[in-house]
Amino acid sequence: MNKSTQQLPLTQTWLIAQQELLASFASRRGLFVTSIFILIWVWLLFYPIRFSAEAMNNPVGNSFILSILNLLGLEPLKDWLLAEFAVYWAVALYLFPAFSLFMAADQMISERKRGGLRFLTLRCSRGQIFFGRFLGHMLIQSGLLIITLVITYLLLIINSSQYWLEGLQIIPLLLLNLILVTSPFVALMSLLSVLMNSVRMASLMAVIILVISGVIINMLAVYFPLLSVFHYWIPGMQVESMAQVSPSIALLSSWIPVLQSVSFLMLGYGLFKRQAI
Amino acid sequence: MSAMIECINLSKSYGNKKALKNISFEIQSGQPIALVGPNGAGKSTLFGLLSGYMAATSGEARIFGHKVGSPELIGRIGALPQDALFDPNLTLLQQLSYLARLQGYSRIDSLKEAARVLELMQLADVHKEKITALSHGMKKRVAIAQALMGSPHLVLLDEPTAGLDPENARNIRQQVTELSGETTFIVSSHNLSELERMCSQVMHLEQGELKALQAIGSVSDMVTNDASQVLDYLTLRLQQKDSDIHNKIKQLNSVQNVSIKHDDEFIIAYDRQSNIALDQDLLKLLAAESVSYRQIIQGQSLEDQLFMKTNN
Repeated sequence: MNKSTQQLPLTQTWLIAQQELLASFASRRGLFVTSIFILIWVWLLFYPIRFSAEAMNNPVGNSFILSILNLLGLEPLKDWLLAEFAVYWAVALYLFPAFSLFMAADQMISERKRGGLRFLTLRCSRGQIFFGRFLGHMLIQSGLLIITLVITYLLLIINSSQYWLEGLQIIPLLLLNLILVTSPFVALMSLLSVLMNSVRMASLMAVIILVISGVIINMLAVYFPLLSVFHYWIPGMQVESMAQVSPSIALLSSWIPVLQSVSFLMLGYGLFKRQAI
Repeated sequence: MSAMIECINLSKSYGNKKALKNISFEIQSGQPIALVGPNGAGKSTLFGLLSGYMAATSGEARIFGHKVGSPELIGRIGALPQDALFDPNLTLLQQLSYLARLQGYSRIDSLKEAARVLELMQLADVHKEKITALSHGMKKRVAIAQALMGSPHLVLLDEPTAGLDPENARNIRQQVTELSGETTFIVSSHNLSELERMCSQVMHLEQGELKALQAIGSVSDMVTNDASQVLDYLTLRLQQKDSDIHNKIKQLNSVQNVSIKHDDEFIIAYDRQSNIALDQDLLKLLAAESVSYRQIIQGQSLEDQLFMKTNN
């Protein structure tokens, strides 16, 4: 029986995303990065976030912690009703994008090097492979976000159970914001997965792009102010301002990560379509 | 009927090196086709282009009337890519059933299909193993199993038996022969006797150029002055070398030429239309001269057909 593919393109993209989820957690590297991620978050949740939340709930006697928050420019967080989520928000905005750079670094590099992509391209299009991998990594990030949000919620219930409903209401808003913030970082790694020949080089290149390109643009903008528009291509350029506002206000800047993600993905797909595998 | 594969002025360069030089050919579906040529002749490049792994520098390749890489070809072509490896972290069944699902099988059917092709390659007992636990030959068989998944119309096998033990190589040949009714195979290999047994046509590449695309065993020969005359061949292998018999074979009716491959092997070109029973005449001659023979084969070997420079 010949079985020609008659599935909807989205079905295959979804299958590839699912497999990416399975393969990421089955690999030694995936397990290692996830374990580190979990360890760091457990520590963050049960120490800095818990203590900061307690300090925000009871300012008396916790002036040291509050002064650190002020120093970090996170003073507006004190206005949040839900202190646990306020601190979580400030931490997650930085940590999730940073982790996604490493977790999503190997979307295709290893597989391309060992020739495994050749088993796929006769069964689905390159577009389905490329976008399926991106979707898979966004699912991984979303899953991890949900886990950390649930744990933060449990902390909230333990400390301030009267806010259980408010906690439930803010979770979707935080999740949406953080998914949007993380997406251009994952998309950047999709692009670098096509361009680079080793996972280490892809991660290194991402760090270089994020750190050095900002410095270069700043320097050039002194002489050519118009060039400052290129800041909008640096993933996470809006995170600092997001950390100081509530998630609902932060959503107003969501066009930036959306635009960045679309740009990186289009560029990456354009290159992958022509790449020899 | 349009050709199964149609290549028009297909070229591929790697930097300054031309791996394929303007090759054009048409292949109809049917019996297995051998792809031969020395290392660096462009065989894997041709497979790569037909499978859509890379783009041609110029020219066009069409399969079943569709440009290579078209969505219409998805699931209709199977391929054994050279040196491609599976994910080292997942089991064979996980990976093959995933590929089957991409081809349109349901979850349950994909497991059955994966089990079926593993069974074909005699790998059913290792379906729960990861690829890293398998020997080189077994890895190769898993890769062949994936190429056969979904019974595609066209299967490209790049050196399928390289590194396999004789028993498994025989199994691969057997599967190709058995499945060739519904699937057209194109097989590249350096083992010419193996290709000879499996394939009915041969495509000969050398230095990126297509030297020949012809039926195995017959050829319109240059021995005769009449270009339209098609000669047939008998290959005679003797038990012991006997140089005297050479001239006596030449005297037989319809024999045009006798080439000496080795001292104990002769390739006899003859006009079959003028003597359909040359093989019987040859047997009588050998009996009369008390010459023992090992084999008399209709046609000439693929090796002789492609490469032999004989002594007349």
